[in-house]
Amino acid sequence: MQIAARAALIASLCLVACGDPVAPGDYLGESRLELEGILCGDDVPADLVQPTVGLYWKWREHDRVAETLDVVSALAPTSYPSYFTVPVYDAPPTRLPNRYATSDGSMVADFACPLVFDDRDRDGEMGPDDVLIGVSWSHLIMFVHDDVPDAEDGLSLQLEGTSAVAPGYHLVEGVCGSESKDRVRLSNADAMADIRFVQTPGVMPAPPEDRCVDFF
Amino acid sequence: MKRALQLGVLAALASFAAEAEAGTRIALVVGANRGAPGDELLRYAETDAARITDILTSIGGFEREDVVSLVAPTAARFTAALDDIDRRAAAHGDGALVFVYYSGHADAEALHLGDTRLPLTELRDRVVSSPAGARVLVLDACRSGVLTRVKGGVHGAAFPVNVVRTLEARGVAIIASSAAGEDAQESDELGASFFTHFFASAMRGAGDHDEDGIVTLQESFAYASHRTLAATNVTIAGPQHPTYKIDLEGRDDLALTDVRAARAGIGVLEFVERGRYLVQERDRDVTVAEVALERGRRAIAVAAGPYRVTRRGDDHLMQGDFDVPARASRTVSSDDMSRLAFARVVRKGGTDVTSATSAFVTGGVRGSILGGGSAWLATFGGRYDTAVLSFELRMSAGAADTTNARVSIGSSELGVGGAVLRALDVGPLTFSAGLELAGICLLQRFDDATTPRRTSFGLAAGPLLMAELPVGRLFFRLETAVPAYVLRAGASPDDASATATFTFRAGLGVGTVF
Repeated sequence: MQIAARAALIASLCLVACGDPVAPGDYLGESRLELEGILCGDDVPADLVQPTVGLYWKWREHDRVAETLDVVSALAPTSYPSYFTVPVYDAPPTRLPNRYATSDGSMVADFACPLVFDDRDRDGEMGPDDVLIGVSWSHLIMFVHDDVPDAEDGLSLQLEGTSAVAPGYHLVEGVCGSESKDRVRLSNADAMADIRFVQTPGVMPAPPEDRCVDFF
Repeated sequence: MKRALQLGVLAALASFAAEAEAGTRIALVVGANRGAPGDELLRYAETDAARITDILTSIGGFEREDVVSLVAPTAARFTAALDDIDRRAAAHGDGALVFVYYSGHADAEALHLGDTRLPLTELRDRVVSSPAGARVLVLDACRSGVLTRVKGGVHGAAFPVNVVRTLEARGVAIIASSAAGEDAQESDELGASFFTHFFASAMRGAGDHDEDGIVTLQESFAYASHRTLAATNVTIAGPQHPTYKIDLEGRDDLALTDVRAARAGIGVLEFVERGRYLVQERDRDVTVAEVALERGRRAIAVAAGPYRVTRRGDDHLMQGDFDVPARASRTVSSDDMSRLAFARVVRKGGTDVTSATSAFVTGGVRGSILGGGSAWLATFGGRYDTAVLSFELRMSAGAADTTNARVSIGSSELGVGGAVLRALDVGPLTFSAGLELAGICLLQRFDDATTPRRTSFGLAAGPLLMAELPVGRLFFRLETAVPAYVLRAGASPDDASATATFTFRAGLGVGTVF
């Protein structure tokens, strides 16, 4: 009887409540990417405070290399390997100069490297007190702009397997075995960003020789 | 028709003549709410009897010890009381007046006294054969008019009435509140049966047609029958026709009450302006008398104390509070009364106005829904007041904003619905309480290019309270509500579910009556 009454109540509520769902006040908007990944490796740092996923943007500007970190989401301290899915809401934090463009001028994109840092002061930013703990050597995040290359966009993007990619975020991986480390392809739909613990927390290691993408 | 009835009564009762002689007044007053098994329980028969007792002893010249009051007696107890008053009357012979009043259930053959029955013919014969010089039987019961159709009253000797002016009549008078085939009706608004209400009002002075301060049996019946017929014309049960049968001799009328005599604890309310007045005890909200004044002046005798007097117009009421001092007169003047109109009159009743229509607009705030922030809300609508319930058609529009860690969410709300309310007038304010139900459309916008707008539909329902201050045709309103919003909620359609969220709403407004 109680089940029937409850079912009737729920049915009534469903009948009177329709249309789009009302977004609660803490709703952050539509995510542009649900980044799935795994944080793993042999060098698990001790006493982690707040592992946090970030997107590390880096570009070449004239003779210097600029970089910025876009904090994506904090992860709960957990056992490792740790699987995570974090939403990416925003476009790259700034318009990066010298974007990667395809040779036919049909597409322009920026790239970011997924990484994890320990946000020890829990301020939601990568600061002096925080330490890098993991970085992906195999996967990159590609953000395809919805405009076309301009004069400042001179880096060559070699996208394998497809000629057109929808604007927005995509998980890509390097194409190993090619001479150019700038050749990438779209990862499979179920692919995850593989983030490995760095050997020494806080210190960006030299890229491995067998890396398949030339980001660093 | 009403005038003809009144004239007929006056002519018949004109034979109620008498010769002057001092005497004793003896009364048996019986009230019984409970009738035979199966009879509907009456609400006011016993209080009606108490009211008659009070009038007889305060202004009717009956000594307290000469009034026998019975509440819900058996037939045996009733006849024993008749024996008792017969013995008392016998001690005074022709000089006595016996007054018997009964309010309760009856059919065409007998009074219903619980599980017992007292045949009408036996009651009539007992009253008719009383040794008193004059006998008056007043029956406020269904089908009591059967008795007034029965022939064969016994003429008694001349009887004295010991009031200010000594009057005399002899014989028997039978007054019934209804005709033979009719029900006698009660009124919750009056808190009495229609007939006894008007008969008692008449005895207090409302029936003093010749304005001499003495209310006679003839005047009382004329007033009570006229007003009872008028009041019951609009009831579901239909018109109730009080009837009478008089077999009396004499040259004067039988005086029932003396309104103007100064007595301890008794004062006079005097009416000098035309109109229909309802007099109520202010403290207990009990109706004391109803006065219909078409010409001249009219005075009613009441216990000293505070009273509320309401004069009924066609589309408004005049209401005032009057303190009646003992052994003195207080004049009721419209200068001392305030005017009630529009919806208040509808609820009060007593006029030809049965509904009132108004429009209003309010502005206020609504509490947050699902963390979406407080909203400014404007409502406009119309209201339809009846005597019992008020109905509102309401349309509302509002907006809310909130900002979280990433986006600002702007919400617009549109609502269309209604409310059912019960209003209560207290002093200068009108309070209303009820339930509202509205269909809601909620539109959400996000300051984020990738997040589309959302349009949601749902219901809002909950209790609604308001207080209004009427000022002429205008009224000012303060309202509050605790609605539950039933909406489909969630960050994405995949994880959305119907939820009920309680919030509050408060607002101020203004309206006008058409």
